[in-house]
Amino acid sequence: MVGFVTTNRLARSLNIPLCAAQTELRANKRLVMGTFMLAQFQRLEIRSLTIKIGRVLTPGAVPFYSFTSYGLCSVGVYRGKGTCSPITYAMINTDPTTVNPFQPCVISSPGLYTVLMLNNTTNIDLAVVASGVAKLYY
Amino acid sequence: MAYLTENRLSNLLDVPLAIPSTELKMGDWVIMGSVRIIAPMRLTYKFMGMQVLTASVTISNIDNSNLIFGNLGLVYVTLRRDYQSGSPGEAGALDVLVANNIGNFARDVTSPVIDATPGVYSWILANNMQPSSSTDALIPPSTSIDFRVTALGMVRVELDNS
Repeated sequence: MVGFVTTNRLARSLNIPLCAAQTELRANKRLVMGTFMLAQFQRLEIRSLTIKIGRVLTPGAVPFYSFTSYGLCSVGVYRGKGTCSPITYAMINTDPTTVNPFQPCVISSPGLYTVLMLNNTTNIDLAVVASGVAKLYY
Repeated sequence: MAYLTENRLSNLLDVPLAIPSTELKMGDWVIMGSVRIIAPMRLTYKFMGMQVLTASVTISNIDNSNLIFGNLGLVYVTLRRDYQSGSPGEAGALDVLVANNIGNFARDVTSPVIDATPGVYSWILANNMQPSSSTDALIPPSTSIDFRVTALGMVRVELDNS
């Protein structure tokens, strides 16, 4: 899409905040950062979702992972209430990570979506910060 | 000034930085948000507001010996690149917003921080208080100087800086 943007078009584009300041996330727990309902003919693009560990609250422990692919902790967008695999996610082991902004995750199926922060270890408490934005076009 | 295209609109992301009313203990800090910039992305930081709601001591009793960093007031929000750990008030910050009293404080939106250097940019809200060892201090060293603070800001990330 390379056409010019009219003021009408601009008014129908919203930046939805996905944001959690440094928050204690206990071992094997998850935190709902937000939920949104997507209606028919709406389109959501996720190009920015970053996770960073502020502090390790259980220092020195060797982590036991619930799922090895999700690192120490992760933030992701889930269909429904989050009982399934994430549609897109960023996970962290040591360095802060983000979703790939140049390969956006585009959602256009109507329904409920949940943004979750997840501590993926069974024995380490963390202080985690996550920031991102979802662009809603309607 | 060029017109805005659909592509350009899609490449502009306004990332929120927010922390609700939070009690910040003496000398402590919390990370409000972080953004990773990789080439060819560009970050523009203009807007940040902070409100100091309450203090655990009388503000007029705080003297210079209670400040960890003399130029950073009671509470501050600082922007640092590739912050890992350690006191966020040390030299090397890209921007800082200082609160010297109870009330509202905002950064000047007409002087943005624009940076395209790859890295992880973090916004950190910090309490600049420490126990005073001065004999003239009005606040005893055993008293914790805490503040209830809230801050709200936004950073624009352009995925293509051309």
